[in-house]
Amino acid sequence: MSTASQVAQPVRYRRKTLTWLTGEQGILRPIPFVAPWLILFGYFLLYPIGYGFYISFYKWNLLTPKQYVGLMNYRRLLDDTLFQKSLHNTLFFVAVCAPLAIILPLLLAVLIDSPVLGRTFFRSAFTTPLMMSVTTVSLLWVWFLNPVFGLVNHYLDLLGLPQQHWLNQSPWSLVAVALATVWWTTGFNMVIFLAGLQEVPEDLYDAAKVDGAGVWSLFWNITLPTIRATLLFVSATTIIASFRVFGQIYVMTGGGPADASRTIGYHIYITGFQNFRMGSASAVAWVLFLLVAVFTLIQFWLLREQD
Amino acid sequence: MATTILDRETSHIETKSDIYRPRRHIPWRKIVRLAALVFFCAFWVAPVLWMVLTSFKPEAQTMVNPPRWFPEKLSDFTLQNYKDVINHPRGIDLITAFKNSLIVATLGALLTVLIDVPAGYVFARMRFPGRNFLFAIVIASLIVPYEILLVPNYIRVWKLGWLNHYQVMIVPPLAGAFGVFLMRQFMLGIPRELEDAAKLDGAGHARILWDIIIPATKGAIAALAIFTFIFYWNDFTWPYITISKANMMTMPIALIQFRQDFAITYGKQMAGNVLSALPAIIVFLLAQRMIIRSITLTGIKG
Repeated sequence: MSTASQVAQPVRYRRKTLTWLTGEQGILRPIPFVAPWLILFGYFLLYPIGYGFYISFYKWNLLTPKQYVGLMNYRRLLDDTLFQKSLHNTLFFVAVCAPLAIILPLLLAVLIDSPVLGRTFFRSAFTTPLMMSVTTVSLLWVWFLNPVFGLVNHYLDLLGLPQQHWLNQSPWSLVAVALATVWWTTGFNMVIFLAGLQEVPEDLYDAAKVDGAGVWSLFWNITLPTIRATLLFVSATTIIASFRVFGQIYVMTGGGPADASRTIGYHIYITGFQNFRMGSASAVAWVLFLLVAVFTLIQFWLLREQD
Repeated sequence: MATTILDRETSHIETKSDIYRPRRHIPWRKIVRLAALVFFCAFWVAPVLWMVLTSFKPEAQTMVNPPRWFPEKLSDFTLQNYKDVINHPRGIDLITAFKNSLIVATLGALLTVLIDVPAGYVFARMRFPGRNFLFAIVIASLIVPYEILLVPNYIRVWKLGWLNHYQVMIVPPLAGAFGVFLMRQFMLGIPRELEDAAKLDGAGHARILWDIIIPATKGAIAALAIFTFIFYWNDFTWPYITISKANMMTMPIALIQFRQDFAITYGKQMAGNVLSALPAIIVFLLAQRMIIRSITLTGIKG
């Protein structure tokens, strides 16, 4: 990182035994700087992680004393049909939402990353939805998708395509939420891709063009390998975010119709904060964490391979 | 980060199109690109336009089949929905919610900067036993989904008696490591030579942070503040769980109630929606470059 300053550090002898505590590089020095954050970090993040795990072995509704049940909360998930439906719906949602939310921003970034008229306008147009809250986005899409008075069905009809009762029909409610989510978050991934694209060496492009390489060949052989790390980062974060979907589901479909769009995030909310089964909710949250962790580990593994 | 992007943008324009390519040639590739962008852009602009136009239509003209973009006469455009929503609330008072959002987002952003800047400095510049271990924990905490914190933190704030108070929305999110990580990344980018002279003069860490590091990272700190402001403004799940009193609700959760107050009156729903989206969008348009820079930086950690 900074070998120069490390060399410049004067050599220190252990004259005092308390150097590690009060010395120039002692542990007391950073405390006034880092303490406020560290206390909060420990109190509202580190400790609750452990506490949540602990609660997952208890049966507790917050009103009566908690009761140790061992692995019950986890074991019950195996034959909890609602949980399994949530898991199934979540996987479906990830399969619909994540590919779109990765490929579309990449395409848009490639289109914008060149001298094109109105670049700034396009970039703003795609990133503005990011600034809206999940409620605003959801209410907006509920109205946009309104089966009778909404624009989507109107244009589907004009194109001769079948109209849908978007939010009241089994696979379509999840698809609708996925579409709204893609619309909402595309700008974020696009901006990250745009940054990645700045690292593509310009002279490599020019050399390949002289050799007569086409657009596709340029993209596959130069652009994609260069932005590999960015692509992996975006893929992992997008897949993880899709696994955790909650707000959009809650506002747009309320998990419906008949639990057809109940996802794990929604299941955790209902279990913990509607039914007040805190242990059960914690257990499901840990299962979600494990699912997410698998994808994070895959990402780290793929990145390591490259170095 | 942003400067390199900008440099590239301008150099792009000069080299590629003006020098290498013959000028008389019709730039088909550019036209196709532009057409594709316009096509996609339409999908992104249409929902926003639909929301805004609906909010200015008289209520009688919002629900028509087939739907129309504009009211029957352009003179039918009206501010009535906004007046109704603001002056005659049916349950949720959006002005109160707006005020709550402003308080929570402003305090949240201020405190985040106050706490995360010195903490970021510690990881960027100070050496002490266990630093790498602590930093590894910081990184690891970034991948923890907040769902596993919902139940334990809810129990914690319930025991603290914080439910339905401002601090429940402001304080727990301060524990996140994202801002600390962001500040460290920016501070690592400052050349150490800047500090050497000050060190020779015997300046301590506090002096170096205040006199050198903070002025050099002003832009990044502003980006963090804006980013955090927008996060607090839009935060949904945590406030929704911890706030149940109508007069304490922030915009995103007030809108849920508001939607029921004005069920099937979409003009008014959309007026409330526009009001809730407006501040964050204005902040964004004013400070777009900074926000894009901080989004970019989150992508560098891979």
